[in-house]
Amino acid sequence: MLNRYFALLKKDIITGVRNYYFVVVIAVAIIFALIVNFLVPEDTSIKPAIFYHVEYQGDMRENIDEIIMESEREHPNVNRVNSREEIIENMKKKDNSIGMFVTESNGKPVIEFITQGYENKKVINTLVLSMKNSINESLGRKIDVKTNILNKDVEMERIPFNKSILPIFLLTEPTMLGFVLILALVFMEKDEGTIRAYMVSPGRIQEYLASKITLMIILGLISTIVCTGIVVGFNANYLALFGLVIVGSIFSSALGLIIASFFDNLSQSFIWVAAINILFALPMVSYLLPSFAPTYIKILPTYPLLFAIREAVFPTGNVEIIYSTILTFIVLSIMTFIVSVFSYKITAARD
Amino acid sequence: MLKVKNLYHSYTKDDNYAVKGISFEIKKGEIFGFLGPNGAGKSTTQKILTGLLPLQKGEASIAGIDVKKPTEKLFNLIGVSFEHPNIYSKLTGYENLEFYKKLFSVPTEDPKVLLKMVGLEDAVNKKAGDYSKGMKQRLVFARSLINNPQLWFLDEPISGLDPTTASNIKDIIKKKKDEGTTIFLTTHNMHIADELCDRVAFINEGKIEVIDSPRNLKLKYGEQLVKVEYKENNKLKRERLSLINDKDRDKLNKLVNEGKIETIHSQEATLEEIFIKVTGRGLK
Ligand SMILES: Nc1ncnc2c1ncn2[C@@H]1O[C@H](COP(=O)(O)OP(=O)(O)OP(=O)(O)O)[C@@H](O)[C@H]1O
Ligand SMILES: [Mg+2]
Repeated sequence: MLNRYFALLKKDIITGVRNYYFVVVIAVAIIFALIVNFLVPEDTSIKPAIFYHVEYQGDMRENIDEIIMESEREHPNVNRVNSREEIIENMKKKDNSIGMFVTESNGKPVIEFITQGYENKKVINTLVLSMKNSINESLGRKIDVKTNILNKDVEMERIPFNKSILPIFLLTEPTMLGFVLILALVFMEKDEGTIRAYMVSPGRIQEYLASKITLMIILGLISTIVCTGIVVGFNANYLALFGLVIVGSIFSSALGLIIASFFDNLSQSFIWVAAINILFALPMVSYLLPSFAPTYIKILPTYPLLFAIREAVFPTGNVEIIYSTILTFIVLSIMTFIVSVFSYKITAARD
Repeated sequence: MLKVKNLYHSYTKDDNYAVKGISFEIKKGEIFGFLGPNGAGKSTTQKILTGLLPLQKGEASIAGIDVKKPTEKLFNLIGVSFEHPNIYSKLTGYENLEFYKKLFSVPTEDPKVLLKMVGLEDAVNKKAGDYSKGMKQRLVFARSLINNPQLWFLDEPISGLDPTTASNIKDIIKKKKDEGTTIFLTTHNMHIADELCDRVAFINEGKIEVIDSPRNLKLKYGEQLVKVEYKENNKLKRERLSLINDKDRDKLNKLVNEGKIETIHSQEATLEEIFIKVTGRGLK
């Protein structure tokens, strides 16, 4: 049984090499990494939201209100709340936000900036600096400014925008790659009729499918290593990342196998392939727009997978999401694999 | 070696049977010809026996193993040569056989020896996708021998091959038979069947019409004819005379006695003619 699996794997790898799968996968990973590193700007104009509360009631109150009103005009996302606690509460709900709290000390206003601790420092510094400057200017004298960091234990900087799209690549390429590539591979063998030759040998469907899935895992890992290596170097949690890519590949390629079992070529199966691809790509929307995460997206398996991949690439200490995602996908993979075996048992005999 | 009893198969899973109650047995070491026109149900039967189609109704066993529940052991002892060549086009001829060899858990043949046997020794390292049709067919033929099958299924093994290659393939089939291999040969080529088969089954519209040895079939159904050329009144005449018909026999005797015959050939009925007689239709 293991002999047959390795014979199949060798055959599939040779076929993959001669179909240029390896070359293409590596090239795509390199191109993506280069685009991320050199073509996508590090920061986008997405500014953090600001929550503020002014406790100070002294003679400079008017000037302060004016400054805030001015920045409200320039900056669409400035919100007044009713206490310092409320600032923090709101900030906890909203990833990309900072807080400003104006209080009084010895009759003088003291401004406290509250930050999350993982913002892009450049953004925060420019923001704080510009506010400080305008306050100082308008008041004509120096006031105290404190900066308070909410998540002190988080050492990391906020992920630069360009690198933050790496998890999306890792989801669509190495992980979901198997879904389409395995279809192409199976359709080629259906066209050759070699599946029938295999069916009259002692080789079993499980081995046949497992070998194809293994090829997808190998390609997925190569793509992951190349791309992640170029973009973030040694900073990622590679062990977790490999785990996620492996279980994700098994799931997606087993799913591809199920689809492939019912059709003879890509054009017949196109609607299904496109529909499933779009469905599984939806969580990317939530990834890029964190405020948009409706239930129908959250229940897609690629939703936790995408965030787990992010955690693996940019570790924040939330290993739980990695473990639970890997576990979920192990269960999903076993299920889809079993279904794929059955769908082949039913359809492969078909002429 | 192979036992089939009351085998039915419907692709549409209704009363529309492609195979309708076929029964036959093949003894060990025999070459059994499965003959019939296009669409008769030959390939359907072979596919059921090789596990490519589910056994819906009836019984079939190979070396005592129920075809309905095929085991690894069963697949280890059969070899299947397909009508339409199906090979891994990205692999070389050698890699194709080397891969297939590893699927079996019985002693196997050396791929190089098999390739040489079917005349592909010069194409060993060429991608099978670049083979000609006849080369692909020979590769599939060679592949079906890799596990030294005890029961060997051949579907149209020499159709489309040039005469020399065809005769080489026929020799291999004969050699395998001498080594004790049981052979299930599907074809609509009556000459091959006549030359190779110990027994043949005529299948038509999903039913077996008759099973017997080619010789017996000829004796039973074929009129024995002689073709004579003789001189009469200084003119050359040709005639076909039956050896069964009394009137023809008298005439032949007379011609022989009078010494008028210039040439004489016996003319047996061909299997093809017998097939038409038995089934009421031609093979093509
Ligand atoms: N996959 C299929 N689905 C539906 N009907 C089929 C299928 N394959 C064959 N048939 C039908 O079953 C009948 C028997 O076909 P089969 O292929 O067994 O014929 P055959 O004797 O092998 O003919 P040939 O000499 O052309 O190879 C035909 O009527 C054919 O139309
Ligand atoms: Mg046929």
